[in-house]
Amino acid sequence: MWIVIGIGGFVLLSILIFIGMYNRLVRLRNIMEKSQSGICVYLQQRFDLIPNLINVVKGYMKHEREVLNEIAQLRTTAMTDMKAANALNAKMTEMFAVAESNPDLKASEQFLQLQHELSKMENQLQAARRAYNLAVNNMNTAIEIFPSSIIAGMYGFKRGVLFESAEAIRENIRVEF
Amino acid sequence: MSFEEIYKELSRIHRSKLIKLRNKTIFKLIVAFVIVVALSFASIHFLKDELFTLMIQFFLIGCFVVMIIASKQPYVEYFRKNVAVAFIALVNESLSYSIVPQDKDAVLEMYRTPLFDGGLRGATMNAIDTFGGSPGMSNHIVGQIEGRAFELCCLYMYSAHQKTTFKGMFVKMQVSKSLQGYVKISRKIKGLTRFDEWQHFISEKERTKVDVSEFDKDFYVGSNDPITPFRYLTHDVMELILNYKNELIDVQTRFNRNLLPQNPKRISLDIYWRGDEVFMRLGNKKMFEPTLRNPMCKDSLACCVSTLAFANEFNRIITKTIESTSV
Repeated sequence: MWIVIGIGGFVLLSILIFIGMYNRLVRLRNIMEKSQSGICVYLQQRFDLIPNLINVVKGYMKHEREVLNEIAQLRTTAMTDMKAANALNAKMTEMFAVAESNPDLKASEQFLQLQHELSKMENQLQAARRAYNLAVNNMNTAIEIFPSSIIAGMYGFKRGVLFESAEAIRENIRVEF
Repeated sequence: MSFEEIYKELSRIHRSKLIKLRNKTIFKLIVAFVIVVALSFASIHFLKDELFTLMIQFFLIGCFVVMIIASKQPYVEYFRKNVAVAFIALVNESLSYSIVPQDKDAVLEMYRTPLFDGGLRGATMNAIDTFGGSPGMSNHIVGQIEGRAFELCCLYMYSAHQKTTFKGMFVKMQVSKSLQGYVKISRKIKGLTRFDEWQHFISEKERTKVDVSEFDKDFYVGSNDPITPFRYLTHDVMELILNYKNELIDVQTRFNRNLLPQNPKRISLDIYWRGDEVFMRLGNKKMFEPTLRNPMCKDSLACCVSTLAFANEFNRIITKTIESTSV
C-alpha cells in the first residue's frame, strides 16, 4: 500500500517537474522572440530616419554623393541582411565623420535634430540588443543543462543566436572619397 | 581636499571640545543613574502600596530616558552646529547644512514620492511619518552638485504599524538625463524582512534581470518595461552603483565603533529614477550624531562624502552617455 502511494507520489512529482520545465522553456523562448522583434522595431524606426537624413545632407555634401548613394542602396537590404546592416552602420559613421568637417551642415537645425534622433535610436537599439543577448543566453543555458535538455530535445527547442557587433565597426574607420 | 584631510582638520579644531562635552555627558548620565536607582530603592523600601511602587518605577525609568536625551543634547548640538556645518562647507561650497529642514512637509513628500508612484495610497501612505517629530528629521543638506539640485536628509521613520521602518539618509538629486518611464534598484539582503511599505518597492511584475551577473547578484532591478533598464543602466552606471555599495560597506566596517555596529551586509539601498530625478534611500542608521564611543562621527561623515561623490560621478557618467553620438 505504502509502496503504491510512494510510487504514485513520485510519478506525480515527476510530471509536475516536467510541466514546470516545459513551461519555463516556452517562457524563455517567448522572451527571446519578443526581444528579437524589439530589435526589428527599432531598426525599422532608424531606417525610416535615413531618407530624411540623406535629403538634408545631400544639399551640403555635393562632393560626397557616392557615400550617400551607397547608404541609400544598403538601406534597402539592411533590414534582412546582417552584412548589409553592418556595412550600413560603417557608411553612416563615415558620413557623420565627413559632416563634422562641414560647418554649414553642422549648424543646420534639421541636421542636428536628425543626428539627435539617430543617436537616441542607437541607444535604444543597443539596449534592445543587450536585452536580446541576455534572453538568448538564458534560453541557451536552459536548453543545454540537464534535465531540461531532455525536454528541449523532445520538443524541438532551438538555441538562439547571439547578436555580435560588426567586424567593420571594430576596425578603425577610414573616411574615403 | 580629500575626506581624510578634512576630517583631520576638523578633528584638530573640535575633537578636544567634543571629548570634554562627552565626558560631561557621561558624568551626567552616571549621576542620573545613581539618583534614579536610589529613588527606586527608596520607593520599594518605604512605599507599602505595590501598584503605586510599580508606577513610580515606570515613572523613574521614563525620567531616566528623558535625562539621557537631555544630557546628550549639548554634545550633539555642538557637533551639528560646528563640525557638520564646517564639514559640508569644506566638502562642497554649493551645499548648505541645517540641523532641521525648514520645510518638513516637503521632505516628507520627497520620501513618499517613490511609494506614491508605486501605487501606495490612503491611510497607509498618510501614516508614514517621522519618529518623534523633529528629531526624526535632521541634518538637512541642500544645494547643487555640478549645477544639479541635490538634497539629503537624515530620517527616522515609522509606519502605520507604529514600527520603526527606516533610519538613515534619504537623497533626492537631479540628473542631466531624463528617463522615459522609471527604473528601480533595490539591494538584495538575505533574511531581511521589511516591516514597511518599501518591502513591495519592486513588484514581481516589474522585476527584470540585467546582463551583468555581479550586479544581478546584489540588486533587484525593476522598470515599467524590460528594455528601459538596459537603456539607462549601462555597464558604467552599474559599476558605479556596485562601487558605491562596496564603499558603504567599507566605511561601516572601518569607521563604525558603536557597541552594536550594524551589519554592513544588511544596509539597505534603494534607488528610484524617474524623469530627471533620482531618489535614493540608504538604511545605514546614520544621523550625523556623535556617540559616546565616536565623538567625531567618522562613519557618518564618510558615508555623506561617499554619497556626494556618488551623485557627482553618476551625473558625469549620465552626461557622457548623452553626449556620445555613436551610429
